[in-house]
Amino acid sequence: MPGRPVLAGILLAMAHATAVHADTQSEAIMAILAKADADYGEYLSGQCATCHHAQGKSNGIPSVLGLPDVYLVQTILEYKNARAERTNPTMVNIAKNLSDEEIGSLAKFLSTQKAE
Amino acid sequence: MYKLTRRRFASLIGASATGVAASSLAAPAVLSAAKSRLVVIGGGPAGATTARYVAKAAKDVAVTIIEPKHHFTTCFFSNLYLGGFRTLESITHGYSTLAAEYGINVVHDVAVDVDGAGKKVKLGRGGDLPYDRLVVTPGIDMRYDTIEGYSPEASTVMPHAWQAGTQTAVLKQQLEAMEDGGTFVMCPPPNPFRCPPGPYERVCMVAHYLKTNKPKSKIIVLDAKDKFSKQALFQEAWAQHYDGMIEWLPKEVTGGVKAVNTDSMEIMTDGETFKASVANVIPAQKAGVIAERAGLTADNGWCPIDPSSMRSKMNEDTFVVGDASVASAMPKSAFSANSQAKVAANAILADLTGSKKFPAKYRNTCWSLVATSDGVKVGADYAGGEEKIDVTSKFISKTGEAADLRAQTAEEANGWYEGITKDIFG
Ligand SMILES: Cc1cc2nc3c(=O)[nH]c(=O)nc-3n(C[C@H](O)[C@H](O)[C@H](O)COP(=O)(O)OP(=O)(O)OC[C@H]3O[C@@H](n4cnc5c(N)ncnc54)[C@H](O)[C@@H]3O)c2cc1C
Ligand code: HEC
Repeated sequence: MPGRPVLAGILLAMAHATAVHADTQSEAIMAILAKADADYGEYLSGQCATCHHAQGKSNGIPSVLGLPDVYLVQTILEYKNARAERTNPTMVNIAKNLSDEEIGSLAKFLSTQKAE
Repeated sequence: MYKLTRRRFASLIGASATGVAASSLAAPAVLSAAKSRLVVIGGGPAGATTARYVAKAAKDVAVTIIEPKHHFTTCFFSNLYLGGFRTLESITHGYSTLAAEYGINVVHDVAVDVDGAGKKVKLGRGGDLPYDRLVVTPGIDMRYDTIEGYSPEASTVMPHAWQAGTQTAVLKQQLEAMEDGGTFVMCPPPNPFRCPPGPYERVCMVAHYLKTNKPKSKIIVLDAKDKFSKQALFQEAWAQHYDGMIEWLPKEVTGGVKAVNTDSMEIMTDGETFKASVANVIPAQKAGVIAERAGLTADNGWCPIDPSSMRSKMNEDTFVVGDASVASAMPKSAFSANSQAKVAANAILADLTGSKKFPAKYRNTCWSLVATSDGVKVGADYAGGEEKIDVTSKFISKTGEAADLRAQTAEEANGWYEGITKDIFG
């Protein structure tokens, strides 16, 4: 185990790195959300409700209703790039076909929906 | 409830008449009727989803579903019932939410004819239902005449169980009554047919039941084809879980099933006769007969549609959704039907209310349970092309996947069942 000052130093460095990374990332996400059309999102979300329970029940497939729009955009982008844990072929295949405008529109609409 | 006086009634009519006059300046022609009418023939995945999405979006469209059944048993997951993983009740759904929460008028009757020029549907018990837009979703009918000796009566002895409910229950009872050491013979249909992986998932589920309860039994599959959906995955599962129990004979080996005899329980191919303890005969298929009566079918027995909207190519006031349509490259599945329904609903709403028509995007995923906690899947995304519905990208489970991934896939299928039935029936 590293001593306290060392650990604090590491944490600080990590926080800094994440902040820089998060900055560029959140700018990209904000740009995507700026293009959103909630009506288009509502239409597209019909194609999500086949799997993601319309009232937000989580059972084998997680709920996506009422999640923050920024989180939704980020998560869908992770599937699109099959990053980290986001390798489920079903979601990767779906995300691959979504444009930035569509991802933003979906996130905007889904974030306004209430889970049961 | 308050009473409508004659004067108040007159003023209501006056008010709505003015409203219509004002809005009709910009809106499509159908708006000139007070409340536009959508009639949907069939309350399966295709019909109920279309009705629900239109009713959900537009309170000023009167939506009617014509469906003879009071309860709808899903074909999807009916193989799991045969395998002992599900009860029939757990895959049976009612229409009360669609009526109560979405204001959909569910008429339990059969549509016997369609007057396309006069825009009305004739009901079995008499009377007509007028419409502004019609959605035809009768699913499939069997081509009994493609196998000599097979008929609706013969199907009570050799069930197809390809329309869920009584047929599925009959097949289950026959399996339960079968002796240990008996032979289960399945005859899968030629393309195109409802649920391409369905027969082979059923082989797995029947094998699971037999292995657990009647391990000396055998399964013979007399296919009308030389290859089938998810073949490598199914054949892997057959070898891994049910080694030696299943014999699959492609058409190139047998020439295909030519005739059946329900008295002797025999199934005849070109050169050979097979004797069955239980026979599951699934004949070639076509769109439900009402589609043909309505003049919506092509020579091949299925209904051509415009890939950008699911609008019938035979009648522009009519949409055909689900198994009855020619939606290739999409397979005939509940997932496809549910997906197409949303594209159709968007186009219908654009017609009736002037709302925005968005690009046609479709999706399908078919999970199959091959053994306890062992699921596989195949899926694709699609877009409406010029000539047909084109695949934009696809995926499939791999052979040799780890058990925990397969268990997760099986669990996902359960989540999907919850999701889609909610999306269909409300
Ligand atoms: C064994 C099996 C397993 C399957 N597994 C899956 C699966 O895992 N995943 C999947 O996505 N799909 C699966 N499917 C396919 C799926 O069940 C069908 O694709 C789906 O039901 C098609 O929906 P539909 O609405 O077009 O037709 P249907 O479900 O057949 O519904 C049509 C409805 O119309 C009604 N109707 C017919 N004629 C008339 C008339 N004249 N007047 C009024 N009503 C009428 C019928 O009563 C019926 O209720 C499976 C099918 C089978 C057989
Ligand atoms: C075919 C079924 C299916 C469809 C259709 C589907 N999803 Fe998913 N979705 C899944 C599954 C399964 C997971 C869990 C995947 C995993 O384990 O990473 C998931 C996960 C997600 C997650 C991550 C949730 C979290 O908090 O981890 C998001 C966000 C998501 N989906 C959004 C969507 C959107 C938006 C659509 C419609 C465009 C959609 N999904 C359509 C099956 C589906």
